[in-house]
Amino acid sequence: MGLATQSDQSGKAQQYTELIRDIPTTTPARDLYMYQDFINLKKIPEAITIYLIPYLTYLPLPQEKSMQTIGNEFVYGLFTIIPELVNKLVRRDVIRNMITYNDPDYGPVIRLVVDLDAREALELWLKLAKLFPYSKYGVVIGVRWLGKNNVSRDELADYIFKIMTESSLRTIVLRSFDVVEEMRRERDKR
Amino acid sequence: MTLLRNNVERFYGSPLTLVELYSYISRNIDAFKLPPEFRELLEADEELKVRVHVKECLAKLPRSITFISDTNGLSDVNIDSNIGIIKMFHKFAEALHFYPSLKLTSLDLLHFIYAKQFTKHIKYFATLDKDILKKADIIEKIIGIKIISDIKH
Repeated sequence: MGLATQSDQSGKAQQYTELIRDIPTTTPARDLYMYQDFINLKKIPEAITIYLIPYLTYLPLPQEKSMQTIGNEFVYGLFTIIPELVNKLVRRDVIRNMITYNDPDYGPVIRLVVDLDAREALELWLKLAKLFPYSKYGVVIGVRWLGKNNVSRDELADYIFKIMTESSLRTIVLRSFDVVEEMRRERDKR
Repeated sequence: MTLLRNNVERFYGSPLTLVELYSYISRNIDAFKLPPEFRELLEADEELKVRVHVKECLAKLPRSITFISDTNGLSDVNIDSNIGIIKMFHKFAEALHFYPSLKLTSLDLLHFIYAKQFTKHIKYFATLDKDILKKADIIEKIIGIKIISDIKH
């Protein structure tokens, strides 16, 4: 997660004065959700950049906090914002469960279980991927659905690839590949 | 890099490129780890998993890729009077004419047969295969496509 400098942040804060209105600048991550009604939904990521990251950066004695702790607080902030955001995106209460866990290779993961059919759930997942790209926030978001599976396998493959692309999530290759050597080995098999 | 230096605007792939990519990824699927949530979703569906990896590989190319479509057509091939005339996919039948002069392996030659269909657009054939590089001159003379590579032969 890249942390911007204080001067960068104050510059951005100026640009988003309509966004910040009543939110005290010292709002802890865990309380940010209380102010979400004041936030323009489209600008939630910017709000997080402006409020969450500076807060985490300028906590008293930040050197006493491990990156793991900071990451956990950040996930907690997202965890509290997402339900209301999802309700606003789909215009009804659809979240039936939310869990977080840590993946050893990718870091924190938030999984939503929603009462939607597959197509709606995948559309929601795509929107969340655009709002909270992994490349920017370092948190993987997943969506599972309880409704019917109304997408074909081709569509599912397309959705998964699109969501991964929007999130900038990439496959990890577990062993090193020497392309020339791989080619040679493949050709020798013929 | 050589492709980019030659101002290549677009990549072309034959259906065989896809077949080989699917084959390679399927045989090496254990080396690829999808991100969490996607991994669990596709756990029981090996085919979809391979398809997502193929899409990822193609997306990593520095230029967009156009796949040459197969076309309908069977040719009558008469090799031996005892065998009689057999029907053969026309690309395979065309390849039979080029084996004697090019002496390439079957899959390599078929890639060239597909490329030959589009010599107006396809100027270069990129490869890391030393056997093909050794035959670069004769391939260019017969097929009309220049062989380029990042490795020296």
